[in-house]
Amino acid sequence: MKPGDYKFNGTIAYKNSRSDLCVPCPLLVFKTQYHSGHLTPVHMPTLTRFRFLARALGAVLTASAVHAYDLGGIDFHGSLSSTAAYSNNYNYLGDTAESADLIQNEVILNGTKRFDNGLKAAAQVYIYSFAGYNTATLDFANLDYSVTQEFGIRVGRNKTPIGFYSESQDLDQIRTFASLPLNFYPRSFRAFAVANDGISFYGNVAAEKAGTFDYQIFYGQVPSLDEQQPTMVGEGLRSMRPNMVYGGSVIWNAPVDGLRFGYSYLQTAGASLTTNPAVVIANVFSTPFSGDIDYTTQVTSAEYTWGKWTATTEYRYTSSGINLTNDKAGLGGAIPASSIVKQVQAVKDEFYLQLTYQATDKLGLGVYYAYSDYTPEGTQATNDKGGIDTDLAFATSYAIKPWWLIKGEVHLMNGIHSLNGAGNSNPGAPTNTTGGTDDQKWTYYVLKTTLSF
Amino acid sequence: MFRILLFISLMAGIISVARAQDAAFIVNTQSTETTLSVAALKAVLLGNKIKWDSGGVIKITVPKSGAVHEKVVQDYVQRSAEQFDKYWKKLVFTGKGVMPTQAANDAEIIEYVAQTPGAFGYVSASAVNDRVKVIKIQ
Repeated sequence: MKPGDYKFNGTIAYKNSRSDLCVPCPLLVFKTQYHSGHLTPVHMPTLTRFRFLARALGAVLTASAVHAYDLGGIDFHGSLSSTAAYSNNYNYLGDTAESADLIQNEVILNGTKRFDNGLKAAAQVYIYSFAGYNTATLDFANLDYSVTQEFGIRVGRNKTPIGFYSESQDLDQIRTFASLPLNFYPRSFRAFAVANDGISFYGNVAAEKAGTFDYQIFYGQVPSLDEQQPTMVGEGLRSMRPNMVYGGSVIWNAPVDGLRFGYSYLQTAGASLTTNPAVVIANVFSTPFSGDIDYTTQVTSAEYTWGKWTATTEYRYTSSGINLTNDKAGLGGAIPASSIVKQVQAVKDEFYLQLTYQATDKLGLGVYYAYSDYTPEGTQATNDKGGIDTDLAFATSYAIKPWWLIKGEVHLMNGIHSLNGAGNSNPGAPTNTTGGTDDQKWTYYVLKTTLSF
Repeated sequence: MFRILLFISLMAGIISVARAQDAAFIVNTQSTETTLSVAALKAVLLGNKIKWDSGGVIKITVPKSGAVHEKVVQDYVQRSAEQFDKYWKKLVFTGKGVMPTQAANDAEIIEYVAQTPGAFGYVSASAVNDRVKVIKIQ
């Protein structure tokens, strides 16, 4: 037996029955069964494509059980997820108002190879449909060299570490909830903050009896955003060209088992944008305008795991300084001071408390309460986004197989300030919602299944 | 007082022996390593330390399940086997690690370590044979 063959040794029983191939896609047929009349040409190819991917991945999963594939020394992993949602009132990340919608499908394919000199090459493709938008992205692709335990370098497209979970937000298989706190880790903003093209320094530093510290420092370019990306549409932006982004994170693994604290910081300066004609900010502009944004976010985190319980809390403070101009020339970096006709300062203040309990090997339970204040004391709302949103969520996760998870959760929402940024489903909310209501209290149900190897 | 001290000594001895008997940490016979500190073992198992002090990449292999695996990850990285698995998935899917090779039983681990320079694993102490070298955790 060669070392490279090790993972296949005596453990694979390949099955190729039709029933096995149908296992991964229980939610993918949901829409066509109950809402076939609502399928659009945009959705249809996506579902077809995802059925194909689901079947391919299903065959892989059936063949590999919980093993990774090791082909030529490259370690392959992957996952497939489908998410359906329903709201009693609003469209949120899809056509969810008073009808269930398959809001998101995800396929992750990951390959990693460690060379004998310690150099590691890793890449991950993230293919997804989300709120009617479909794309395949290079999630990360980097070369990683660990000089010592205390110092290493990653070059390429790296995940951006903000808070404990921004890097792992797509990894359904490692958490109880189907969703990270909705407003704290806004799904629609994923493309803004998930990765950067540049360089990262990292390490793990032992501090004797004080525990250990994990750190990352990064500098890079945020990939440009497609104008059809849900947040671009939801926020009325025609173009967004993020500038360089830099920051870092440090995690203190305290000398108490299961206890860790974190702090992360991200700064981007001079990101350029232009808007669609319909966008009006502070009643100043009624035609397309251009702007640049200085964006800063800071997250302080704490997590304590004892036995089957994990308690987490995070606090985030975000500020955006926006300079606006009538100059239609648009993109081009920071706007000269002489051209600035309006300056806007937007602030967001938020936290959440979360408790999860892994009741058995298969069953997990969770609850969180999240609070987002779009107009903290001493600040003013920039448009219709001022106010407070809260989200009380309950979740359950069940592992049918070690590689097959199903999850259900309910969110008791109070506040509708995040609806605009969740795609173009609620432009102008609360005035343009199903039934014309502006109820602040609404409920959001999520059902998700994930297969992984 | 003597009885209390005797009891404590016996319990400490029993715990120590049990810990030593449960798991043996093994490396390839070509390795020059003879010991690993508890802190270094934790760093290895969590993917923070990827190279031996004497040079070369550490190639970890772990049991997929079992009492030895549960005890090692609980004692040395303070995680359940499930939490350990999720920890590694997070590293892999964020581009920060290479998943340890998983083996179905002690024999597979010994086979892998025996054939792979730089390999490191742990098995039941009773399963160890002369095809691999045991290193001391201190």
